[in-house]
Amino acid sequence: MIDYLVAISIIVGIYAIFAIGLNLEWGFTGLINFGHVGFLAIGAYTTVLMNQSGAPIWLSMASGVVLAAFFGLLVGIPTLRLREDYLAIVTIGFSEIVRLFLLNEEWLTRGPMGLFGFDRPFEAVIPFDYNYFLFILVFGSLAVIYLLLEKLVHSPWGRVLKSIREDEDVASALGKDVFRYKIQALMIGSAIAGLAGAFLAFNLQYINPRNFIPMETFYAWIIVVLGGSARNKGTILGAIIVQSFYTGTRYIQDYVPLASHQMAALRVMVIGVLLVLLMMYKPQGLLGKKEELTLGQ
Amino acid sequence: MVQEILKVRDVKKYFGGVMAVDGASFSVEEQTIKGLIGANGAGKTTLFNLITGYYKLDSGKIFFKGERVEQLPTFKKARIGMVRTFQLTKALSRMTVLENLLLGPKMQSGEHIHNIFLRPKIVADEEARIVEKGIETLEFFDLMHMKDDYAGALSGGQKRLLEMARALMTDPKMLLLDEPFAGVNPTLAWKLVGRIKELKERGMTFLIIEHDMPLITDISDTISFMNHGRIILEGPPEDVRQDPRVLDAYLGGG
Repeated sequence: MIDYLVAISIIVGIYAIFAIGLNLEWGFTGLINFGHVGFLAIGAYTTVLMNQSGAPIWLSMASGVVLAAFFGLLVGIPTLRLREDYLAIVTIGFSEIVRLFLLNEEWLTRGPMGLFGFDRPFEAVIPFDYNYFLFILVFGSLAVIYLLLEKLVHSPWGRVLKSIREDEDVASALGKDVFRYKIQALMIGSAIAGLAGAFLAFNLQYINPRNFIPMETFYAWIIVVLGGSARNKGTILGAIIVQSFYTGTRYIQDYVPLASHQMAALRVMVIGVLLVLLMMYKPQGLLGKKEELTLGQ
Repeated sequence: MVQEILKVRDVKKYFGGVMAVDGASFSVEEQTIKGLIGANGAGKTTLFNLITGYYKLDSGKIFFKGERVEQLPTFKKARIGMVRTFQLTKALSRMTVLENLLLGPKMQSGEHIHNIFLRPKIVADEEARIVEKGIETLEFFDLMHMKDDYAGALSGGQKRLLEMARALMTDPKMLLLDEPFAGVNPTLAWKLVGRIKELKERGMTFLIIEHDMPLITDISDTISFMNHGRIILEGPPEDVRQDPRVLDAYLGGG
């Protein structure tokens, strides 16, 4: 039982990290990133590939994070000067390009067969069940990221991000280099997604391109919206709800008279209904502030 | 000697085939208040957008403090002291009234990520000074009681005050105000007129678009009248006001 809880918690933690990066981009800066999963994939594959080619695992993870941030920069440069909708289109295309690259460049990624057989941090020296260590690692990282982000969003820097979200013309009228802040937010959000990717690889011990379909991006969006945009605590709560529901229902598979594909469809339906109810009764999200919704523009 | 802080030379802007600003030229002298008037559609706001860098000009030159600036992006113009407000007020709705103001000061050290972590003391001290200044400014604009409310909850007139207060927080050399008195109650509008004159005495320059004739005649040192994308008349407020072309534009008939 404890093992189940730990296993579920690890997934919750990974998605919380993944989504909290998106919350910086969307919740605080107003960037519509529909390709967040692309950065998760870059983090996961870079970590694994670097390690398989001989790099120590910590260096591999760091490379995954840095490369994810770098791709955030690459995607951001041509799009962030344009209106916000362009970012949405480009990012969703970008994440599909990443996935198709992973699927087709078999010389590097082994394509649909995926990658396995790589180190996990301290795996050789952990005397107890590795999942317990992974749990500590994931939640330790989440705690650090949460604290750093809270510090940032409550600083003058975070204030500028919010002003960009509200109206970027005002930010530029006041002398703020809007482009620079958007790039920074996208790079930090992407780096965080890259880290989540490394943890995802450690948890699955086997990665393949199917782990990085566009739906994963929208799980992050569901988590952010459910918890309340621009509330880091809300994002964590959202991850707990969505992922414990999603993963938890897998464990009860044996006890319900539904085939696994029916169960999968039912899960998505329930999440959909949940979101509709949320929008009807608490559109600001679980931890969002209600006053914010009633404001005229 | 009188210095021209802003000089606009033969600026043109087309939208598709439509000429919005058709070779406008005028200057604003340092430490003066210039009114910019004209009928709706004369091109006043477009001219503002050109001067402040929201639109790119099709041709012409703009000088600010003697330097060519027509290629500079908006935020860089703001940094050298040219700050504007908007005709359709842009309160940052989901931020508090005070937060709106705190955004104003330029080049805050806390706007850089590395300073937040490496120089927290400097950032905190600076923030304390900015808050103090923000509160003084709120008091002047009679917005103190709404300090912690969301800016989106303010009335139209209050949003205008907020916008002017926020612009002043940047310590601008020159303020470009796009209809600053629209929707502001008359008592407060006249109080604002007083405040703007006071700021002028302290060295600030203003370019103001305004339709309210009594207010703009009272506040301006000179007025430029814009018609069909050009400045066709400039001079002391009383003269401009009584010019038949101005009367025509404002009272119809033309």
